[in-house]
Amino acid sequence: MPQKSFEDILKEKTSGFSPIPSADGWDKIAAGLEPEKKRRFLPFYFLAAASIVVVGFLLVHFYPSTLNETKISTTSEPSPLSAPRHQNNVTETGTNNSSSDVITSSDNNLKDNFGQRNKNQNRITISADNSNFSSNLKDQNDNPSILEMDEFGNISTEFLLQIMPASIKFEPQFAHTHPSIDASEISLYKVKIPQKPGIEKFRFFAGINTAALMNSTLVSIKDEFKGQEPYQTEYDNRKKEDMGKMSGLYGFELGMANNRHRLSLGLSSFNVAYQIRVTNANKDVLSGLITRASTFNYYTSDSFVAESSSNGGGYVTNSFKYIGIPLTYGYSIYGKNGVTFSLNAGLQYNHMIKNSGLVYRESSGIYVKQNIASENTLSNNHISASAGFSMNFNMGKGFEFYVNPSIKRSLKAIEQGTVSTNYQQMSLQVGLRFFPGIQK
Amino acid sequence: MPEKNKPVNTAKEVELIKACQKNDRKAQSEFYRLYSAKFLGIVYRFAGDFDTANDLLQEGFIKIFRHINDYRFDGSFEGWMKRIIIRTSIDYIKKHHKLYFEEINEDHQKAIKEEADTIEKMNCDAIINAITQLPKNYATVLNLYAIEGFSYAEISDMLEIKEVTVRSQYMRAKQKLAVILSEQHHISYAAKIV
Repeated sequence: MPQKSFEDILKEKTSGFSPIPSADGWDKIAAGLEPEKKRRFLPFYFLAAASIVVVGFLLVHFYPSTLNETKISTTSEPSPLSAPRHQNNVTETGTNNSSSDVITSSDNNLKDNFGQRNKNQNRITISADNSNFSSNLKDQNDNPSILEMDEFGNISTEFLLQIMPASIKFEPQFAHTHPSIDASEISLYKVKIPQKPGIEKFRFFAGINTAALMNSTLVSIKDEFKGQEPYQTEYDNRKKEDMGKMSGLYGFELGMANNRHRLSLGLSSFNVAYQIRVTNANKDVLSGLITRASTFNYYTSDSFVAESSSNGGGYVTNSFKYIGIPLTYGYSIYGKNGVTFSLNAGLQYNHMIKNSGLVYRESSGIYVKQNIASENTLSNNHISASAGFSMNFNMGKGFEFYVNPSIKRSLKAIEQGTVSTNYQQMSLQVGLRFFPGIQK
Repeated sequence: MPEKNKPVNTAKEVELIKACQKNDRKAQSEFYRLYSAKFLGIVYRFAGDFDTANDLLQEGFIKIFRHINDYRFDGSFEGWMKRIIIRTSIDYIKKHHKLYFEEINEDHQKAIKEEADTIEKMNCDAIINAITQLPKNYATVLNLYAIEGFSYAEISDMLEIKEVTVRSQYMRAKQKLAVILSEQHHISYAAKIV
């Protein structure tokens, strides 16, 4: 029998050595097998959550008071805005060619009147109302995007759905919802930005933008007002001619930006719009079916909303035109997987350049169409402040999904001689942008 | 390779492996239960203390389960796991201990019989204790060659040293081990060797 080798003996002698592992060994292994926590996301999500809380608080805090301020006359008696359409005691004092009805609108339009819409290229964006801003100079892998070229121009196209809160208190007998769709917003920008990634040097940029907007207001009558006149008749008429709008906006913007910060100064204006009516009979809450378009019309003001209508659908109302000059600052935080979180805030100086519209006002129990331009009731200048945040998700291939809640408030009454016309708006934008220039 | 002649996996092992490849915690836990003590014995011989050995064991199992989809069923799973455990141990030693491998040209044939006789008289715990007292370079080579069955060439690749160096280090390791064991039992084999 051959003698065992040193190795054989050693292996044999040590083969039975099996000490007891530590009691928490498996727990540590199981913990180690869990997906790694993305620590770098903590500040990102913290800021996102904090912003949601802040904006949510502002919305809750300000919104009811705004409604009360804006339309305090609606609480005790039928307001001009809810007057029955079939009344014949409307006296026309303006120059309008319409003759019959008073119809309504609501404060959802304020944003479109006093907001400005700037949109620039390739993931540098100032969105509706001068309150939403995002900047993303890098792609989802944190690599420099095409933006980090020396100088270029690019075109982006945007589709978004914007939902305004229901203004139930606005007219006690009615409930409103204000969905709107902004479609095909196109921006063209020429920018100069950092040439190399990581360079925190500000560069100047400038660009122009335009947008096409659609809006509609959905109205339903409350149960307690059903069958009661004049509300039922008013509601019936609204069902036939609920309101929607299309409009175009334009403006330009210049400023400076680097990878995270962006400071911009712009000039924007409100262009012509035309009405679209929404009809959905026999339902309390109307759906957003666009059924017919009417004539061109200037954008209208919420505070003086009253529109005249002929059977042919020719709407000419109180219209005025403001130019806004927004000054906006934005700060962006880049998360993983193409998520960008941006905070923004700004002021906008608004100057009225045209006031040619008409309003219906109650006078001794009747509703009188008046030319507010001649009365000079509107403030020629006012300033509004806005703030918001956005979360942008780079979906690849040039597409970006975004969510933008924002709040905006005028710092001065837009109607002279009153204290009730400080306007305030909230918006939640959910949209999809397409940037042809983004390269992976 | 050390495990080349080991039978293929049992049906139960195959079932557990496939479950582990789906990140099944229960199956992973079962593998840990089956092999943790055995593998702890291996890493302890390399590390020399239980705290470090437990850490290395956990690190090794995490690597095993994270890379289990790389296992192609072309050898025993235990052998595949053991290689990861040993590689983890060696990486630790290379990182935390400076290994001095000196080339030594000696004739060790005379000592072979005495060394074998020495360890034959020792029990498991005494041998393990002696191995942990060896300098890390000796213990590493001894563990890899004598106990785990790696060839000089394989050890040369693993430690990134010359094969002849591995051979000479192993011889010195055996001598040193014999000395330690002899001292433990008050038998002066060292005098005979030298």
